[in-house]
Amino acid sequence: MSTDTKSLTSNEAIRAELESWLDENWSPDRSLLAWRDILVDGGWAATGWPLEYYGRGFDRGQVALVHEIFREKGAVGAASVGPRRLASETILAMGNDDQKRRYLRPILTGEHAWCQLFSEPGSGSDLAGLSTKAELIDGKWVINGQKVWNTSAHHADFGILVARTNWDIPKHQGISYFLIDMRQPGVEVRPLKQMNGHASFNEVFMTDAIVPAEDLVGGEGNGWAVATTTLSYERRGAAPTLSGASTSENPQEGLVYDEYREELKIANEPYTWYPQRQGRVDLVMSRAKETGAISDPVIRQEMAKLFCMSKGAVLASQAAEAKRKSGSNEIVPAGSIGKLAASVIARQSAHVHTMISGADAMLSGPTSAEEGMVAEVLISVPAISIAGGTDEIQRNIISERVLGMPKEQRSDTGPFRDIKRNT
Amino acid sequence: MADLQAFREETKSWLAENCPKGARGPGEVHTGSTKVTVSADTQAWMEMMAEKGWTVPMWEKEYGGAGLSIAQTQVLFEEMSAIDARPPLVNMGTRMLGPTLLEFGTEDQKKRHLNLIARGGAAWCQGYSEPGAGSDLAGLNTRAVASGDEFIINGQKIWTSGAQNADWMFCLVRTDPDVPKHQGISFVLLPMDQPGVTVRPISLISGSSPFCETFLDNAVAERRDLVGQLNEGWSIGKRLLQHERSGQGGLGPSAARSRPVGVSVDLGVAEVGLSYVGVTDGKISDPALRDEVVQWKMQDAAFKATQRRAGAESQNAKAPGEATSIFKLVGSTLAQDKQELIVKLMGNSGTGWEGAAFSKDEIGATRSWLASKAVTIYGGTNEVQANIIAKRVLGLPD
Amino acid sequence: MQTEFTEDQEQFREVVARFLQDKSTPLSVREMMASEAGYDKDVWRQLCEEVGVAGTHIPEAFGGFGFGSIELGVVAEEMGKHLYCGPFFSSSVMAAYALLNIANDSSKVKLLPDIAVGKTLATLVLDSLNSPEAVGRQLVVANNSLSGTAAMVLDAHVADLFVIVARAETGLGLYTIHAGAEGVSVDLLETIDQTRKVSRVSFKNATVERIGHVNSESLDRTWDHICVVLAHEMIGGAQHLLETTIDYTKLRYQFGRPIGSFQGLKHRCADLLMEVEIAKAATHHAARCLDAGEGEAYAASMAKALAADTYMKAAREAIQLRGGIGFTWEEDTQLWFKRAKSSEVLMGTPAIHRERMISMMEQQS
Repeated sequence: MSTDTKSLTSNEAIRAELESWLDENWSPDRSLLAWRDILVDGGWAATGWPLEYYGRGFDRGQVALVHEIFREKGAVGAASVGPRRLASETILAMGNDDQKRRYLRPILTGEHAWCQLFSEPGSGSDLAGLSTKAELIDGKWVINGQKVWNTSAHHADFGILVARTNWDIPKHQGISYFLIDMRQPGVEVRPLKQMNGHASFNEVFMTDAIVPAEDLVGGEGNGWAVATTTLSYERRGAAPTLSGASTSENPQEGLVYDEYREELKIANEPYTWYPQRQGRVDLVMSRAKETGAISDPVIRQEMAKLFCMSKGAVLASQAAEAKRKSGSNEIVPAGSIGKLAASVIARQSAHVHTMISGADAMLSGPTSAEEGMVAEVLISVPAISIAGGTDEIQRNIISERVLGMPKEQRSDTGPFRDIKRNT
Repeated sequence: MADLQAFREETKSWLAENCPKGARGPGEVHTGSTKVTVSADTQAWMEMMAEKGWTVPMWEKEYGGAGLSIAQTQVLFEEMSAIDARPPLVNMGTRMLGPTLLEFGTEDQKKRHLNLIARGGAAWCQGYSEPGAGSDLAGLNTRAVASGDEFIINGQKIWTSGAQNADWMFCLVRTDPDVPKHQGISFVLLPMDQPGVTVRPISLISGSSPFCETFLDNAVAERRDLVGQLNEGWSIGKRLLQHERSGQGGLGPSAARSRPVGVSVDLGVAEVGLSYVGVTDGKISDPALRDEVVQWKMQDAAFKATQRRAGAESQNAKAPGEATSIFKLVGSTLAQDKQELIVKLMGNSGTGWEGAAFSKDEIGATRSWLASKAVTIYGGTNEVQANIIAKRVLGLPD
Repeated sequence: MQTEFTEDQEQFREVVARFLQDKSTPLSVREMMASEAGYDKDVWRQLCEEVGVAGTHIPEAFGGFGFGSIELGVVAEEMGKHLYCGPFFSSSVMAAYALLNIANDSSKVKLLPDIAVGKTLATLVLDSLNSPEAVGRQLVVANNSLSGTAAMVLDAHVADLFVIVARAETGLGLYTIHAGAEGVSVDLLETIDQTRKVSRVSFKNATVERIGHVNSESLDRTWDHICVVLAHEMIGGAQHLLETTIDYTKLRYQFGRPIGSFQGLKHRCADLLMEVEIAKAATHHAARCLDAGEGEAYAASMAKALAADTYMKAAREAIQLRGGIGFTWEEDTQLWFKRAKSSEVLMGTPAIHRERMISMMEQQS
């Protein structure tokens, strides 16, 4: 990252330059792809990225400013929704120049959609226990195995893939990281319907699927380190390094908006129920008033417990963030604690919604409470303590890394071939 | 059936005639200890029942019992409870060691010890836990070395409830330190009144001292009081724990009235709620607290129903199984929750320790609440019970 | 609003912590519990002279240091950690806050300076420690003559000055009377938590001085201030229990390994950490709300409810995870356990504070 550029660029200078650039180049009448080509060439698509790769090496504050200016102008930014961000950030951090040159630009322009091919039916919490096989045959990697929980895989052009290349060494050491073309005969994507009726995920079956040798990231056997990079981006949530309005509210007219709305609709579709799996605490008070449940002292107690937890969790994460910024040595497990708290909150919220609704909690669909949102809460909440690392895994992380409690005895340290696993 | 009806009539009239007034309703229960003086009625009641073999009704007559069937025993208990008669004798001998000796003891051991237990002639204590071996009981360190007709025992036991009043101790000792830990343990019986045994009470947070530390310094157990084979004591010790757990869960009338150790006052949650929180329309005034009371009572009722069902189901089985851990886990949690709830219902009145400002029940409630913190620990912690349930009942892997 | 502690505040915490680590050891706590006075006069004098705790939050105009709720919270949190036994909470917190929020200026000038240096031990006499709404039902004043009983008053047996909220014909008022005055009787009660001495105080035609008019706003504000300090004390205690329990699980071996390596225990410790972190954040937030003058009442009730529930949970877990040793008299965990219980019910149970929160929200939205 070029620190020179950063220190030499004042906020006023950024604003002046970008505003005049947008005035000159932004037009809602282009196609989305045509606009983003201009955006990337102009160096405003990913200002947090280094100079060599479409960026300007801006820090977080500067990127946020760029974001703000795009919003003010109503200009559409680079493609950023969905798993493509995990791919671009990982390639940027761990890929070689050739890979960066080939893959980063189409991600920014939205030309390529990506998916993540990590979890397997036999390895969920224990990701490193994966058994999808990659073999180097005649200079190409041949992939066989099954992945699961692959958000947006049915729309994806490429996937970030972890597969096993060596079975005779400890499990973390025999994993390699690949970029795989999803549009090939050896890759089959099947939607996976959840208990709440949505199908946000897919299963991906790979049968003699091919990855060219040059699409191995980080070298053979170094896949775990690369995957960890991806996961840390995923857990941290999206830090804004791209620019442009990513909100779906764009009332403006024009071809670019039409195409952008379509892009967002597809990309956001898997996530429409996510607020419901968090319990929709925001609906509790109005529901209690509307139904009269607010006058029930038992329900009031449960509501207050819920509000204590949800507000307390926000305050705790702010405190952790402040501590992190101040460079404190204290280990603040903000992510894991926040995730555990989110589960407690979601469950308590579902409990309170149930108490408020009474027998009406049996109903679902658009005519039920809050246009079906309450019903969706009740059947989506069980997902929150599983997705993105189960609560049990979070507790392991907290107790071992934060509290320094001794590690559980392991029985999976030998060669992968000898480890007992799901068949 | 007709026989049973006759037995019921007979029992009913015998009880009506013989159970002293002072042995009915709440009050002291004979423990068999030679070191504790009890009231005349309690003593007489125990002796009369022992005479009939009804202190341990299901044991064979030659060992001091009455050889009653399960159905007859049930009738006896029902009739006792109809006149509010207290159990005549409750101790670790009747509840834990007795059933274990019936299963594993030599004829000599049964004759000597069971008869003594049945007629209330000895109180027993349990030499199991050690400072370094609590949840991991099999990690125990107390050494016993065979010497002629005796074992010489050195070590320290802890949480030996009632040790200060006990006449005998059943004790797990290490007789072979060079084999895997479960394989070097023996089960022995030793008298408490000997120079090598020192008992020191442990003060608890409730201020009472129902438990002791027992120091064994060249204490002696006779060779003939080795129960089972040398180095095979672990399985006997475990079996005894199952009897203990089923007792703590409250199977049978002897346990029905027995409270968790140290819980001195047994108040009803609903009654406390009504008198301390207040009454509106015949209900506890605060709806949120009322809800908590009802939740506890539902749990308690469900637990008791489950115990009855399990009791009926296990009538054919000789001894309680691993499922007794469920009763220990649930029973102790409920007992603890109850005390917690009572103190909560009492509000500021539930923080009294001593003095005239608080009633006897209030102080009792506070102390029982503190004491109840122990019930999820003693006799195998809830965590250990959960492990046993997971492994032995549910068949989950290690 | 501030979201983290400043360097000065952290240094202040260090000073308080170091002092208490020396002077408020479990051994000395046990001595204080067994003593009639319940506190060590020398230690109290040093705390006031060397650390200046008694006047932390009292404005300079009244002889204090003029810091806010955040700094006072720092003191209370450390005191909770070390289970300090002394008149800090009754005099510096309860009585001083009542005077600050309610008393007329001349009384503040007269009374606060001696309280701020710990020379006068004052205590706040309320006839209910459950909720501000219940205050004023037992203590009645007519013609400056006070009668009635306050069932529980902190440190009344050592206090020099009673600051009293009582009902007069004109409404609730704030009154003072000196200990030992005619018509005042103090009975020390035996309670489970001997680290906090409580007495019953009765007045029979005792002549009191009226020093302020109490309205629901000023009483609520006083209540909020006290609750937030108490919440700090509680999170300090909870933090101590969490830390010592974790240490114990690392040292105690069963089944050939430290018990802290068992997932069943680790997961509970992780849950406990989560709750402690949340209660701490809510409590620190409440102090900042008080200092910033926004959303104080809601934040105070939330902090009190969360801190109380968390402290009790930490205390229960601290005993259970220690096994048998945890419920012995000899083991120190019981001291914190008992403090947790008395703190839970003092100034309103968690249920009362939750109800207060919902009432406020209901009116807002």
